Amino acid sequence: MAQIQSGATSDLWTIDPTSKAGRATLYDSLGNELIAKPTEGSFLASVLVRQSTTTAADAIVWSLFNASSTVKVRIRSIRLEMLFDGTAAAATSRSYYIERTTTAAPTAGTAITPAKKRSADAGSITDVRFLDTGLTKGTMGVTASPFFRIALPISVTGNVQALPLPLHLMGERIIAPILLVQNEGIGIFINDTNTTAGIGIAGVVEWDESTA
Amino acid sequence: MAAKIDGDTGATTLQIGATSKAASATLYDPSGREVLAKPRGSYLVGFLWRQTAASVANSTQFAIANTDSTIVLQIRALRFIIGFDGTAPGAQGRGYGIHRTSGAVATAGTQLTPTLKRSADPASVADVRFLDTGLTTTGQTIQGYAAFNANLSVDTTSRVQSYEYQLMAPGRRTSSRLGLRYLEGVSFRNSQTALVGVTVSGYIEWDEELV
Repeated sequence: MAQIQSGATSDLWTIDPTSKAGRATLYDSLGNELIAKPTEGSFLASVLVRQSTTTAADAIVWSLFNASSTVKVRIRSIRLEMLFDGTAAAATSRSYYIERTTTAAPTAGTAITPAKKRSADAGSITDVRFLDTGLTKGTMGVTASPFFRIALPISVTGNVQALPLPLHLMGERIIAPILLVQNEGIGIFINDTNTTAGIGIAGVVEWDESTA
Repeated sequence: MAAKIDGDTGATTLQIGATSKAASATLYDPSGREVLAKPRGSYLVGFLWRQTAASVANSTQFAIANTDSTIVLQIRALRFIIGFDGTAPGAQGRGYGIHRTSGAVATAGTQLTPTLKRSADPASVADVRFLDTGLTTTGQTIQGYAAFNANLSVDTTSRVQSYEYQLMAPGRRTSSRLGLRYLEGVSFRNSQTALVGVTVSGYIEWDEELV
């Protein structure tokens, strides 16, 4: 009876005693480990923005940005709900959109410290911030068309509606998330010039950080 | 006695993880397709339109189609909201059928640039566009029965509802997504005469792979 030895080292293959199954680690054909624990950490950041006053179209009200040259950010999911608690406006809907951002993070507003999924992990390297009247864009750019849009009728007050963007499925660590490398981010923008206080957006963004 | 396992060409040897003592494995289906292969590119595009006029039934408000004979589009998910902010016409509903199309790409309207999930991937070959009063569909064959239907009651203003079509399932890359070959597409078509104030917002998620 032979034992199976690694072709690269002296390590031997383990057959688990109860299941009698040989251990296997999943890789894609490019050599990416598919269910690897992120090397740096896993994080959550909440979204809660309520328009308090008139805001210009295309103002960025929430931002997550990766300025690191060594750490990659993979967005696993974005789950948002839009709400309205203001004075109704007949024949009117309002909306937000999410778009990729580039070059530099916006500034001003309130910075958020992302929550760690595991307290022993390092802190997130991302810059996360919000301001209902619009962060300062500076040299921040945008790419492509918005990749997510959410609209809500405001012809009565009190509406709320959720729209999730779950990206990461089991084994799809490399394939499915939105990948943010250095100087890439995402932002939530207000779509229409908002003259109706009481529109808002709330929810959570979930991501992993890894050096590979 | 310890044995090492060579591949069929003899050039590559199975590796065992130093810590896990696990052999490396890659999942393939019986036809030889890699189950968790990285696609050529992965994309998202958001959409938003509001019916501004009483467009005739079965006009096309939104269309995505494949413009490259070497690529297949694989739709992973489609999620959207229908809302209504107009004057209620009474006990009625309004909705959209989401149909497969073939033969030609819709024209006119506003064209959208899909977002790359990974900025180093190639740009999408999909043509994506929308127009609330109806895109031009010359030469396009529209599958008569919708793949999906989404309807909203418009008996009172401010109704709103979400619709979720998650096609991709873990481990079922080769069998669960909606595949679109050259000049095939998916379109939203209003099922009834459009009602001013009906608004649709959401996104489509897809992969692109070589045929």
